[in-house]
Amino acid sequence: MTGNVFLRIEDLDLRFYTYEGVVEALDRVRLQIKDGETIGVVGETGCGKSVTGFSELNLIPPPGKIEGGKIFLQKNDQWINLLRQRDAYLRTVRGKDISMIFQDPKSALNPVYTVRQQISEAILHHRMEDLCLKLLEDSKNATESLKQGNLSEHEKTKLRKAVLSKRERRMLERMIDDPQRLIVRIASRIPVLNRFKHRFNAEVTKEVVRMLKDMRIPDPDRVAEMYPHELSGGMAQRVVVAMALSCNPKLLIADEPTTNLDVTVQLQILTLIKDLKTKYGMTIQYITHDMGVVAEMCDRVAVMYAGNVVELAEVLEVFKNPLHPYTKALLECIPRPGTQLKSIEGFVPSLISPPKGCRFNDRCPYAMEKCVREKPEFVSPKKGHQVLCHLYAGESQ
Amino acid sequence: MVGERPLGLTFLATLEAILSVIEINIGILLFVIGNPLPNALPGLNVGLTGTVLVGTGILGLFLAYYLWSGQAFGWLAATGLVVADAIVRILLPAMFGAAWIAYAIFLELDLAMLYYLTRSSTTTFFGGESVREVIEKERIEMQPRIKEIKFTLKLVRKSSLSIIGAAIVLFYVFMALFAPVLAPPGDVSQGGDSMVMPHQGMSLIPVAPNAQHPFGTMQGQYDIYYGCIWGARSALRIGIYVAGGSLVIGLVIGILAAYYGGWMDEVLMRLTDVVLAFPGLILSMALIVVLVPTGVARLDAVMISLVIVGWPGYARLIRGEILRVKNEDYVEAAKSVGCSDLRVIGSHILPNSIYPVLIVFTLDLGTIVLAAAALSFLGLGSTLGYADWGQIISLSQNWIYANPAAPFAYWFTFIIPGIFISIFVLGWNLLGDALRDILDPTLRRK
Amino acid sequence: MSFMLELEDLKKHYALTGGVLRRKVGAVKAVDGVSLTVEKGETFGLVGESGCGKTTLAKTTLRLLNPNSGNIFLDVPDEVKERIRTLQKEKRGGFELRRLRAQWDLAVFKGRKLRDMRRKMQMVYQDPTRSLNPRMLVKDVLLEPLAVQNIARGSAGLKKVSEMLQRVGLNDRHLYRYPHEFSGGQRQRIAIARALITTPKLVFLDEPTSSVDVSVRAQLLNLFQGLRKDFDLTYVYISHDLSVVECIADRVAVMYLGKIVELARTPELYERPLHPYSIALFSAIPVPDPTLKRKRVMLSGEVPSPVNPPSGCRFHPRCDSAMQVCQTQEPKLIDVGNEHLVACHLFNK
Repeated sequence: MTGNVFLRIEDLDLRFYTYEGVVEALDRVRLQIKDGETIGVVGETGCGKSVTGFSELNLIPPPGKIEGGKIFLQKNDQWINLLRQRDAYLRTVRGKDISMIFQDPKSALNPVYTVRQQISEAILHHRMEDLCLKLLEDSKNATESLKQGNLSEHEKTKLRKAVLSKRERRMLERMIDDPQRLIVRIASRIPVLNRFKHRFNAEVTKEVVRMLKDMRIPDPDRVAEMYPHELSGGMAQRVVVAMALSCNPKLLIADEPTTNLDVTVQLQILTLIKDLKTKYGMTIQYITHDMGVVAEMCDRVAVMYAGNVVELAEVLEVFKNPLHPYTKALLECIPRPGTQLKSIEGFVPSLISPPKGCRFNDRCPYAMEKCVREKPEFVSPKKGHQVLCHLYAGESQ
Repeated sequence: MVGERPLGLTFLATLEAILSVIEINIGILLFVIGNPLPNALPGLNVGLTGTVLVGTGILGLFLAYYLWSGQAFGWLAATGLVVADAIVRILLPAMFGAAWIAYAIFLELDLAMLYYLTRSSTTTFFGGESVREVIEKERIEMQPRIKEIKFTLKLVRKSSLSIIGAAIVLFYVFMALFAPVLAPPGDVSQGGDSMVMPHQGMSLIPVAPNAQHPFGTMQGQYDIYYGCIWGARSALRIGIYVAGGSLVIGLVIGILAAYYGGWMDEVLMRLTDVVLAFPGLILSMALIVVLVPTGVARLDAVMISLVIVGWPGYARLIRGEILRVKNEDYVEAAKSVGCSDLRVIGSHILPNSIYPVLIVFTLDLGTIVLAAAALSFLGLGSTLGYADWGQIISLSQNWIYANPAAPFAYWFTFIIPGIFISIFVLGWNLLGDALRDILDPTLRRK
Repeated sequence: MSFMLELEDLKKHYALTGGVLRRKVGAVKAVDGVSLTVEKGETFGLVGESGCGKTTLAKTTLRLLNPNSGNIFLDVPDEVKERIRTLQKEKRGGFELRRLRAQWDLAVFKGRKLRDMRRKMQMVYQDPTRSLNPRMLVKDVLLEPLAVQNIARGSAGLKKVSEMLQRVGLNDRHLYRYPHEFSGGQRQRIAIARALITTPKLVFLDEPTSSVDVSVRAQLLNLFQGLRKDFDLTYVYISHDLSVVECIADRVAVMYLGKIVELARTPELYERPLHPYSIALFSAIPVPDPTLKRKRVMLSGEVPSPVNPPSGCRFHPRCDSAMQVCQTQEPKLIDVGNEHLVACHLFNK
């Protein structure tokens, strides 16, 4: 939790090539994520906040195509441009360094697999080696302890269970080397020889139950064997969070995880995420449209509009001292009893032929002639507070 | 102004187009099916009537196109078209007497409206403004529907398989249409029925293709070429009747079961299950054997039995779709406004659930022919000598591997009609696939 | 004091069948004895979480679902209601009760009478993408209620449609388009136009702004207020978004598992929520003020399924202040002063 930037999105351009035209979904998006913080990405429908998250994992489906920009991830003291990597490499990043949870928990879970099977899948993808080593380690320790003697019968039985036979140890070592090796695969299917596999699976199940307990799911052993349709919305979302956290990622991208949930369940999940963050030392990128959630959860906020990041600052700054006209208008829209409800006049511009200048200019009460012609640049009128607006041009510090 | 539209140009043009399309279809059907009312109209010259109808239909479509697109064209050409149209339509009742006068009156209404048009807008054909305004306004109103149609056409053009499928189907339709031209009937051995293959002679051994018989003859000296060409007619006929019949019955039962649910659903679905429990071919065989002795014509028995075997598929399909659509919000909203059941089903549920059924319908048009061919092969299809692909193949049973010394010497007896059947079914399959890609709402957008 | 809508002990249960013989093994008590009144011209807020039965209540009142028992009085004179209540209390079945109910009680209307009544009550659904038939032009969507209710046809109908579209902020250009060509906010306006075109008296709004952006939400809410004045409507606003309800509702009822647990005027309820569930609900709303630190009441567990509701007070398993009596006896809605009704044993003085 150093507070140093470890993910940088620079000048990201994303386009969707559709029948109706080219949708310029993201335009020069810029973002930096610091280690240990919770950064909120806030905006309305169509502003591009979700696809920014998907871009970080390079999961944009066709007809979308990333047309420009870089996404740098700091891994082992090296900056790697995620957009230039092959899929095989990215698969080692997804789930392990960067993980994502989605809006609808029920559709994020495969309905024909149990909870345990789905979480195991995530665990096995990245941590197979760890678990094998753990088993071997346990076995060694157990053998050592047994040799020492002066233990109760009860403890002795427990330790004996953890001891692996030589053959089993050999198989696990082979598995660490190359899990796809023929002999490993054959042996795991033959009844007597596959005891090592049973041990391994038992270990994985233990991990799964441990994760479920971490998620504060009551009765985790039973829940592990349930199917997604038997779970309520809140439980399903916890399972999804468990899947995402199973490999202890550095960055968790949460794409509106509580939008579909009841407000009391939302409180539970938000508290859970906050506690998990401290426990696991994660960084969270929280995508939402709810300013209330942002105020609760986030340290810094990025406000997005029509494919641009228009303001980026600490959360207190954004609420008390918003600079961009859109942010100001958005904050005014929040219903306050007693006052008349305010809205923003006009509609979000179509991204198929977006305005040439600032994309907010037709709805902006402070619009100048410059705003229609020229695209604004990022300026920093205050330290740590960036805004994309002509009003503050030349005020960079 | 909205709501105060006079009899607009587009309205007339649309009417003209619809009537013309109806005429063309009637003309084609006459060709394919033959005289629908042989007792009432024994002297009906099907060929001539069909040609006339198709011809006037095409004329009408041209007229409609000009009116629709608002192109002012020379008044001479306009008047000429209208006059030609009128003359031809008046010829009909003259040719066929009283029974056709009703039809002619129906057509004359259309004609009267055209006359009104030419009279009231003579100036516009020379470039007046008011009609153009009306056209513009109407074009705006038609815009969303036109956009949808354009999008559909674009999807059609994009997929080459759909074009191939459509081409194949059209090819067969033309073959059926122009059968009298491609393989002229009139041979004495046919006994006056053009659907019987000519067989001059009694030779039992198939004769290889030669100058006189391009595809050879089969057992009994039936001309294979003739059989294949006219077989297109019987294939289309069987396909349309059977698929259409199954569709209608299946739709009724499926809609009742899905919409009302409860015990009606149970009873109807069990009935469906009972019919489905029988292996299709065997059930149809049994039905044919039962029906024919009671006096039903062979081919009709085949069609009835295939309809009975086929309807459960449609019933299940539409039931599934309706169950999905039934719970949609807009159906409930329609009920909350006070729509009667019939209206809810007709305006809201059916248009949103019918597409898979239509796609299966087009696919069925191909597969039913295969089923009929199978029945013919088993001897339960059409009568001996009927021009039907399955019939030809069934007659070639003994000759598939007849002579050990020269196996496949009589390949032409089953390979040629087999190719006709296969490509026919392929064409419908491709068309059905293409239709699904085009019409399925989830696959349509992007 | 004549109410626009009065519900008396309305119940809607879904029977669960099981076993080979499909016998009734239980019931989902979606709405379990709800009584409330809505005054003419007010906006009545109905809040609760998923599974509490608020949407079922709306649909049952609109007779899109059929109630199992209870009365629904839509714009019925007081004397008639009194008479029916007396007869029902005396448990006298009989001819008179049946006749009165057939004429006045929406819960038992059938056929033509029901269809005519539909004209007076309408609903705006949550998701306009799903509540508009994707294959119908806007013109047809709006003409249909007029045709079905025999209000106007043809060009007269089109004129009304045109007027209605103007009222909701759209225009004639939009008549000949399909719903998918509009934005979310515009679609919702079309849905509103459809609901209002028969000039109803009572309109249910089922979370009409939850699928719409925040910046457009206020446009719709202001539209609702404007239309209410112009058309003299009464609203029942169903939502789980408590902050929006605070702004537009005059009175609010909180529902939990098929029952109303609290009912009060809006400022009163938001200032002094009394029922433990309401308190938890209010404290769970995220407030857009990062400096605010407050004590949050977090409920344990999840909303239980309405199939097997807990005995006694339905909230007792999750309630911090549960007492012995809460497990056995169901609390009734009691007025604790200032028109503030609560169903909780804590206030049984």
